[in-house]
Amino acid sequence: MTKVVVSTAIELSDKQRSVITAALAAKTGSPDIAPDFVTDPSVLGGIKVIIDSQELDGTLRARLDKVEHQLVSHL
Amino acid sequence: MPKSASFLPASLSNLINQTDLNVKPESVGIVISLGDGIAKVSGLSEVQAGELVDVGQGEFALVLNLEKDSVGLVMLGQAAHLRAGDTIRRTGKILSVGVADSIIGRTVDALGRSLDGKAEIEAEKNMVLERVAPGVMARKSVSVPLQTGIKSIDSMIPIGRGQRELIIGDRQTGKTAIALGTILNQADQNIICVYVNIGQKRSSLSQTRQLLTERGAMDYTVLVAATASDTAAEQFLAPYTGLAIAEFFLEKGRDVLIVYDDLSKHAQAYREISLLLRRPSGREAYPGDVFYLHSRLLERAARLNEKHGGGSITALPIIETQANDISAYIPTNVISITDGQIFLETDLFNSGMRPAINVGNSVSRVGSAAQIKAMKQVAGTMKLDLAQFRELAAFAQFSSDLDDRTKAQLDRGKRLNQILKQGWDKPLKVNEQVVVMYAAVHGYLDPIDETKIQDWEKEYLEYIHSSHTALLESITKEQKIVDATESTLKEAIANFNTLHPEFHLSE
Repeated sequence: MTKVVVSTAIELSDKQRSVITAALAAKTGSPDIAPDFVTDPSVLGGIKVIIDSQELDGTLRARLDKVEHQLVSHL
Repeated sequence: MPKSASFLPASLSNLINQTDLNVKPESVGIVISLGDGIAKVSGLSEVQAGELVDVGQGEFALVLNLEKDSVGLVMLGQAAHLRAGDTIRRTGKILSVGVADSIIGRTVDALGRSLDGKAEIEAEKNMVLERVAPGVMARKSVSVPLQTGIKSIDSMIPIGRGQRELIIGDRQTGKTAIALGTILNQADQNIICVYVNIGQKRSSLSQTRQLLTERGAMDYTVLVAATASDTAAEQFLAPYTGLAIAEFFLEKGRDVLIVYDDLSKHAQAYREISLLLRRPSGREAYPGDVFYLHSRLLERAARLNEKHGGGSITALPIIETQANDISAYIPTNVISITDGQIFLETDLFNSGMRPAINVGNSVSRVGSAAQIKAMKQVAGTMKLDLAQFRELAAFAQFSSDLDDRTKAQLDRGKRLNQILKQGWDKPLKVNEQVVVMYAAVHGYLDPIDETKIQDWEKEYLEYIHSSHTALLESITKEQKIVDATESTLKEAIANFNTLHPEFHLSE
């Protein structure tokens, strides 16, 4: 069974959840996945999905981290 | 308003614009347990053994164990921020160190980061830490000498470029001194030196650095350090880092000398990691692959043929023994890997014989091919003379009246031993060694007072330098003592001895 965790900054509505679940089911090819929806304010915004040990991080926090890393490594 | 103030925001926004913000799938893992610098992690699918893993806040860990449901990591820093349940991610990078020509004269840690307060090294090339040793066809036999500047080594235990010669002995017998003396002697030898400090005190690192700086040796030396207060993982990696730096110069066709000080501590650091990772332990609680740990390191020391650049890496590993026990696990392992060993003994050290080399037990298996002819001419009989002397000396302890021949042999032996004494930071050039040794083995020291031999040597060298420079030049040029030089040398020594009666035995 594929373990899926979806993290967002604010709690998602049922409609948003079903849209995300459907999208993930299509992406992973297993129709009966049941993602864990986690509310984590530290991500600031956007959405982070972890499928087993694959992570897709589209949160604001991750983007800011990337900008920080870019600046630190060049200064 | 200064010009830089208006320049800064533009460059900053430029940098920010360059940031790649696309979302890419990343392989991540969750920390299950953490302690003693070891982490057990679930996830991290497709991670490779030896890969670097990003644990956040600019710190990294190294993958050492791949198990069915988890991965064993060893931290390369303190990683104090890490908690169980944290997410860590793969980097896809194998451990490597950024090297450039500018690394010469610098002090770096096991990951190649600056330790001397100067700017980080701008990498010209990334050298991987774990690499396969040069193949059989790329190698060439040892034929060029590596002059240590130490009389007893260069004459009787000669080291060639590309050789691996072990320095072994108890604590406080002058192991490091021999290695450092050798580095000091490379000033005009076109050799790059790498000194790897493993698990030693920071104070000794700082002393070493200061000494090498004062003597101008940092112009061709790189220091790599993982001191006692660094993590076991860093101590485990430091020799490989040093070697990766050496290989950077090897690829450029340079000759490199690398000193591992010391591999006993290295083995202990690896034992610590292995026990914490719960790998099965063997003799002396070392893991089963501790031999491979050192063999894969020392096998990368080599002399390459011209087709492969013609460079060389000469390795001087150091092993500390306990109570002269060379049959302990790590000493026997390293003795069997290296091409010879230099034995240092506490008894000799305490009796004033410095360097405290036990010439009888020390060997060099390949170096004699690299010795210059002049040195062979003078040192040929020396090892034999000294062996005979030791035998006679042991025997003579029991009898008071000896025949004249035995007495003469004993006297000669005592003087040979005296002439081998040398301050560790006073290396001698090979031609100087030859003229000194010539006098000793041809009996010119027999009338000299045994206790004044060191003063004799000093004066004698000054005399040769001031009045017989051509003699030294001839030895350097011809690489051997030609007949004409030999007769001038004989005359010069006889002359010197008549000029300096103060060194003679009082009748």
